[in-house]
Amino acid sequence: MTMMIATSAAWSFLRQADSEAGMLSPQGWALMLVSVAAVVILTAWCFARVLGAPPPPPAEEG
Amino acid sequence: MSQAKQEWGTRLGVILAVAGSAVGLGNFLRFPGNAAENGGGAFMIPYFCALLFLGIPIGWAEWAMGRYGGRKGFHSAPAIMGVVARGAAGRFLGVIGVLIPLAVYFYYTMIEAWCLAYCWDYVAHGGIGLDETRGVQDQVAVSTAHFEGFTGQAADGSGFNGELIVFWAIVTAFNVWFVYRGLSGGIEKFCRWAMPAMAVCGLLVLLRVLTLGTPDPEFPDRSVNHGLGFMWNPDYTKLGDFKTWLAAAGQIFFSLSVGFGVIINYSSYLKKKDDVVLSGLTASATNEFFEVALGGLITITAAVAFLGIAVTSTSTGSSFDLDFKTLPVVFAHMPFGRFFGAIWFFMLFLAAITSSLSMMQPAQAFLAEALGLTRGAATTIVTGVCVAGNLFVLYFSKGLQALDTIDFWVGSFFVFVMAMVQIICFSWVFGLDRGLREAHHGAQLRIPGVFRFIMKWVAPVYLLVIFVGFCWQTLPDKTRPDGTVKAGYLSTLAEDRVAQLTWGLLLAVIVALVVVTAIGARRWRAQGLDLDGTQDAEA
Repeated sequence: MTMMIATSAAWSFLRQADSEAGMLSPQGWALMLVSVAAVVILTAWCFARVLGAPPPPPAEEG
Repeated sequence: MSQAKQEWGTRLGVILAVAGSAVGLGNFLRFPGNAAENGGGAFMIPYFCALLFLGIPIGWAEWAMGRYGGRKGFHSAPAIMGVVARGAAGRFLGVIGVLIPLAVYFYYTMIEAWCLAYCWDYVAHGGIGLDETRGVQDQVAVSTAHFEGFTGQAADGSGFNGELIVFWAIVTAFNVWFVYRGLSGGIEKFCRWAMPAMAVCGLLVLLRVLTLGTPDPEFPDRSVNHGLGFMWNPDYTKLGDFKTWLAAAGQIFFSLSVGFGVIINYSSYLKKKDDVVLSGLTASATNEFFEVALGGLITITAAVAFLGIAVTSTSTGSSFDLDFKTLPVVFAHMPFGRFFGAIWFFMLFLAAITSSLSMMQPAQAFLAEALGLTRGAATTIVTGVCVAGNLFVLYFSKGLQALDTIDFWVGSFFVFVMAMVQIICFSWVFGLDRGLREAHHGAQLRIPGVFRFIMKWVAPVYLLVIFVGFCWQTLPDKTRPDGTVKAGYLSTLAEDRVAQLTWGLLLAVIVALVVVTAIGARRWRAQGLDLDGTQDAEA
């Protein structure tokens, strides 16, 4: 029930594409946050895997 | 090979070098302008589609082909494409992979010099001499006059002013020095320092911009909130316009430097068991971080907060207008603007130099392996060609016509061609199964199965459609809504003397590269190298 209310509230918030006098609208907020979060999380995940990887065994080199 | 064997020092180093090559002025200037003009937040839908269907898969193909060619003893696009495409056709098409970085270098160092000169203006003189008491429009006019005077746009030859020459000489010396020092001792070492420094500078400016609030209470519509709204509020009607999809694909494509001839060269110095899948994804993600998280929040937001939407929207169509004409006015109004202006232009200088370093390296590697030259000799020849190209662009500075001609034909048109050659060679000629097996050697991440379909069908078709749209939009003359005609690049080439001279220069470079490729092929055959890719490279 709580989930449904939260989802419904979020949906009605996000349906507001326009905002007052050109300010950042709820949909603008959502798109900005999702876009920025996506690239930040992807970058952090990639670097965590790169930096956390064990060095290759010497015998494999060459 | 007579040159000492080069290799990367660390895995992080090669990732930062590739990311440094990709992160350039387009991340901070072209992306926000593109997004604001093409649907704001809605632009991110075609943008991420292009990243998923074009940027990442073509990047993976380029990384894998480069490492494969490197194991055969080759480090240049002509040689590697000859191996992958099994013959002379691939080898000569690969010439484009040396032409692009070399010719783009002709003008890119000029932009690099502008950034360094503007940074110096803020450090030494507090800015470019704008009078804060005058109106915004007047300041933009003064800033425009300063930029056009400094870059010599009034007449050919007027770019040879003392200040620009000095800064061009400085950036040229930087580039030659680091390329001469080699991969691990020069480019990698510089990028390991420059990329984190660029991120710190960007985050500092971002923090300043997001805490500006409403700088002038007399203008409540000039605020950070309005700036973010202008940049991110979605206009979904733009999704039905082909131009929006074209702009998004072009942005991703040029931003990631795929099809540029750099990744294939850089990855050729990797060992067989070095990962390319996760490394390629990490380099792309780093580029996206700079583009979306920094470029998407700083430039337009700051411009709207101080200048308003009317003034900002006049400069979103041009990276140069936004950066060199509009932003100096923003910094003139910003508290601690001198400090943040210096940091901003220093960050752009770092973004430019990490890219320009990667542009000399492919030509240097090509000459060294095709003609059997030492690194010093190859660097000297490439420097000579680059200086000649720089002086050409510097002299023909009226309206930046030479710069624009190279940027369009080489930096856009040929990049599309090279990327198509690469993805078709990888998926169809070399073979997708074999290509993915090659990519998965030593991989820390498996390429998801859906990318088999994307690499074989979606990416080539998507690229072809975008390329046709790009040609349709840019080559013929177009009539604007107000009835005026915008000259296309074909009519410009037919009528403009500088555009014709620029093409003459490009043709001379192309002929020289083809001749060197032919000489190289004879040498490689005489050395018993597998230049036609007929032997397996499992050894």
